[in-house]
Amino acid sequence: MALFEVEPSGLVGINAHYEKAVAPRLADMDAARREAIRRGWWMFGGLLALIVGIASFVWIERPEVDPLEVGGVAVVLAAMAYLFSMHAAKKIKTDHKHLVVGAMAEFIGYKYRPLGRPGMVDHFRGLGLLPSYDRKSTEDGIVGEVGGVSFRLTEAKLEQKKRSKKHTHWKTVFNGVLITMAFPREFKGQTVLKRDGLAVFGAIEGFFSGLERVELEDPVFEREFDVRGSDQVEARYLLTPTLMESLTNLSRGTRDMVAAFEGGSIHIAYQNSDLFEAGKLGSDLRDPSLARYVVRELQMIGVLADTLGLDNETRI
Amino acid sequence: MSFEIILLIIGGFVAVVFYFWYVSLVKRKNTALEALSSIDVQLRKRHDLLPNVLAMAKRFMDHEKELMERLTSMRARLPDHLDRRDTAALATQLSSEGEFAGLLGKFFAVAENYPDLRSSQNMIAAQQAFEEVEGHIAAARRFYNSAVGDLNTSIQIWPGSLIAKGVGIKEMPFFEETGTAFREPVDAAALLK
Repeated sequence: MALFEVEPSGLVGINAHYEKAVAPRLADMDAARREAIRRGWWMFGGLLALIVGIASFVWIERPEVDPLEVGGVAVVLAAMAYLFSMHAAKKIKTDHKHLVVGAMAEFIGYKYRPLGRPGMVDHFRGLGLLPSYDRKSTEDGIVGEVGGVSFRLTEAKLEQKKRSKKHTHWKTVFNGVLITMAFPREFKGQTVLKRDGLAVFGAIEGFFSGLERVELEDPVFEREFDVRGSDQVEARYLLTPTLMESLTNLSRGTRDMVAAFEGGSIHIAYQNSDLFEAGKLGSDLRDPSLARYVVRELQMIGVLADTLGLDNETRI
Repeated sequence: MSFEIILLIIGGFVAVVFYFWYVSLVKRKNTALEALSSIDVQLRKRHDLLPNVLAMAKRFMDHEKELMERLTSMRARLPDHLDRRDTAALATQLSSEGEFAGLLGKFFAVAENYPDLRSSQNMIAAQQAFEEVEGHIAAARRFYNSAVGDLNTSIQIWPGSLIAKGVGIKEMPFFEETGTAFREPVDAAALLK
């Protein structure tokens, strides 16, 4: 099956690239996936029988134990057993995703790094765009150039350790995308855009970061963002009325978007569950729909640069 | 509670309100002056651009002598620094700067009609520098107008008007976008020749 019946403009030759770089490996990968799932179900069946047997034994032999408690533990163990049994199949799905994203990114001219770019998390955290965390993980790092604008991108998941009286658990505080793009105007200072929250928190944060509140004349933008900067004039130089409108539109199309101008670049973070989803375990790996979806996601980076007007035409 | 104590409390309260209003007025005035300084810096950059641009253009734009002379004489009349004390003089200066910007913009638009000049690397660099300076001036103007808007509003509302009069804080003029020169009709037929 062809990747695209009609190749999109700007992607001429992508079908041939898919046929050469991806398709030949898909038949073997899909056979391995089906075999892994078949073995997984057998393993899960065995483990489930063991769990049910032990639960029944406890229920019969220890009538003083609450049956609901036994049932609850059994359900949790069954879920863990399922994940364990399907681990091999999941690994194949992930390898398939890496193969497809890597090949599609290569065709467009980007470099793909499956493990992501952990350094970006620290940088974004330093800019105050991300919450504090105790554990981080990254995946799907991409570096490239679109319309003359260099960019880097990664997916990141940040978790905080929460302790209660009985146990400790991990709470996800950020799960989304981090993007850094070269900005077409030269600047020296720092301007940070956060969600417009309580003024008192913003003032306290601003006091510690040394950034002043920048009041802008666009009321819609002001409602969306709390802007702080090291230079009042520079912040307005960067945030032109057109860019404010673009950022407002972008923020409405994403969730919890924040941004900063620093070091000649614009840094954007927003929440998003998964940029390049691997798909369901049961789906056929030979189906090119994942590759089509990946291409669309990769093209969104260009759309983002266009939306923000970051092409070299606006460079002054 | 005796009448004197109540009077004292009310008097104290009014004094505190007046004091904080006074502090806020001074802060707003200082912010407006800070914004004015940033405009001043950018305006000087714009003024400094002119001699180089005219030197380049002289070789190509013989027919635009009048425009170049107007620019030179207008530049000569502009002060080196904006007046921070006399608001009436400041209003006149800002208006003249607007006129000058309009004329400079018109000059660059007319320069497009001279292919040799337009393709000159120096002219391209000058045009980029002009656009960059104009971008910074626009940003500084937005900051200034926002600060002046805040200051003027707080002066116009009582008791701000009373306090401002007492301590000699006056309303400041806004910096309008462009002068009339920029609105002068452009001879499209001549440009398209």
